[in-house]
Amino acid sequence: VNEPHCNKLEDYLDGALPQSKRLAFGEHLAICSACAAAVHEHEQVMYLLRRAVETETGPTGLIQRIEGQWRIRKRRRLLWASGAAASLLVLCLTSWPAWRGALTPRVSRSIADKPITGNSLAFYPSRPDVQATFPPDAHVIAVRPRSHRANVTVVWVYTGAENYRAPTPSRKTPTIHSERSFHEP
Amino acid sequence: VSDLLTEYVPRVYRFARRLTSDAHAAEDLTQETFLRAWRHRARLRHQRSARVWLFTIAANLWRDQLRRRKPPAARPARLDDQVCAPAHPPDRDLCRQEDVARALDALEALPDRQRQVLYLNACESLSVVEIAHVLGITVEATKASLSLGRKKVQAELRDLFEELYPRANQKS
Repeated sequence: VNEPHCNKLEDYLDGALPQSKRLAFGEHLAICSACAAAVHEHEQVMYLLRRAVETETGPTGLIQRIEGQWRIRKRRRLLWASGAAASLLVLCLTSWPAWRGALTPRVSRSIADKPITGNSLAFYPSRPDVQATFPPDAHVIAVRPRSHRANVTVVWVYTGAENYRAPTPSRKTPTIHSERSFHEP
Repeated sequence: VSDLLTEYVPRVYRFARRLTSDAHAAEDLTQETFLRAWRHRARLRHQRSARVWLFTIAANLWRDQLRRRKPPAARPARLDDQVCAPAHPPDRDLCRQEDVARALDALEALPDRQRQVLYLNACESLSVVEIAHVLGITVEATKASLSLGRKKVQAELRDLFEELYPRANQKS
């Protein structure tokens, strides 16, 4: 081990030499019997070790067990995802009326809660679900939006309506007195 | 998926055997390794690095287990039944089986780190850098363990090579 190449024997056996130095060491092996013998013995040991561990195939059915576990996980994940999607859908559907109500313009509570002094609007005299009262001098306008249901009437009431300009003259009337006038034709 | 498992499960199991020195613990570790691999499969960007990735998971899991509890004290049986059948007559083929079993024994007799490093280098052809990554140690420590382990195994099997390959050993 007195040649400079011989010092690289360990690195060569480790596979840690770069390609150019590996080639140079290969040339060195042709002239150095000690290194050649060491490399030969190393290769034999490696071969024997590879053969030795190749006999270990693992317990019977290990691959199938792992595959089964993967399938269970996959199924569980799919179930979880579909459950989450269904829950989200149900949540959206159940909370939609609340959202719709939040988005709909409401009667100003400061006006609606005042005691009845006149100009009472009973939208459903036979079944008064909603009743709002306004003082006589309140600037209020009620607008009936388009509805496709004959038995349901929606009325939007706006306050501060002195500057409101209705799109059509027929909807300009701020006060609505009878139930029949709210029904769709 | 089946091809992937067929290719890598035996490899990971063999490495787990080198980590745990116990067949049952190796089986459990292999299953855990593949479960974790499935969970984090998005992190595997290149198919060609799957082997190193799986070995790294196995080594990390084993380190975690060692931290949590004592490792099983059981050492593997000297020889697997499938490797060597002592009841058979001593023909040439059996001698070869015995050679293989001796090599396996020599490997198992090494200290943990040397055994793992030598296995990954000799049987999985991993570079020292890859081995260092898998085992979470430095390249220098990997080289030192590899050199020591190789010398011990060679010393253990030297008489075998003198018997089997007399011409090769005459040169040295």
